[in-house]
Amino acid sequence: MALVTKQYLYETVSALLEGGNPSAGKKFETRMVQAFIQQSINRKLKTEYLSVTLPSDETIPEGLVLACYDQVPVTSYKGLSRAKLPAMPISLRRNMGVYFVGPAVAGNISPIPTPVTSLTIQAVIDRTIVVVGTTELVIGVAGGSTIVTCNSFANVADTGFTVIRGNVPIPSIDPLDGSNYFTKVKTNNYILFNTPLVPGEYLKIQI
Amino acid sequence: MIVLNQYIPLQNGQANFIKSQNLINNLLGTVGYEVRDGYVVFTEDITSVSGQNVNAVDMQLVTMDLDKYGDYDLLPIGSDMAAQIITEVVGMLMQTPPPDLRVDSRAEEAVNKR
Repeated sequence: MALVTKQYLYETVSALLEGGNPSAGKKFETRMVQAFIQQSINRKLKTEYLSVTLPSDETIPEGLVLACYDQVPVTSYKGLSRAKLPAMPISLRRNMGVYFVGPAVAGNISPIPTPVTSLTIQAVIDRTIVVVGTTELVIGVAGGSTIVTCNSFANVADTGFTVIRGNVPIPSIDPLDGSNYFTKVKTNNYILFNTPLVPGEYLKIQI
Repeated sequence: MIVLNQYIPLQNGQANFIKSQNLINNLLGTVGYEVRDGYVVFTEDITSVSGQNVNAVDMQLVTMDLDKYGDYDLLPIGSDMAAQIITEVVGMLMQTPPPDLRVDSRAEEAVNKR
């Protein structure tokens, strides 16, 4: 397998364009061919610039992009399964270089938009889902109840987090209509809502 | 099993730690993954989960902007993708030859040689 570099791509494209004869007169300038190669790579990878400041207030180096790789094969591996990384990502904290992994098959998907790297928990009432933050588990989010239990509640100050509830899209700020009011007893790992939770309602907890 | 549009990222070694916790050891029905030695290793065999049989995944990786790569730096693309890129660029730059109206070009060539 050839190591794929810009020069390798340029030389291969040039050889094909010149009919394999390197001494033939060049029809295209080097820069132009390289620009086309770069555009083609960008199109294939569907690259987009990554925000320098993440929702968790961390900053990452400039000049990084998100590259999409579709249909990466998955194989069984020692009772589990694994997929080979199609390219080596940049090494970032918390393995953020691998920004997203999801099933390639669309359909029957719960659309919960959330950045992977934030400490945001989103849960659907009566269908508890932990989206990010693997140690931040929401437990027992049931309709008709007013209690939401979360492992991390006990470790944060009573005012150290925000809770917003409602239908998707969840409002980014508290609507201040009283629906979000809750009580948290210090060091306890649950909060108590004023009004019962309704099935289908979403809950967003930001710590 | 809950089907999400993404798997749950775990730090290396965290999957084993979670396994020991009775309450959360199945990640509440979701699938997690760790990144190890160039592989994404899932917490269960997603290729044989009944009703899903995921044989491929989509990924987003953080890489450098292509402008920042030098001529001899390894690009974040696989060799299969390289072939597609070469074909595409050659197709864009290759000049289309004028249409050949001759029915059999070899016949005329033979005549001229005589």
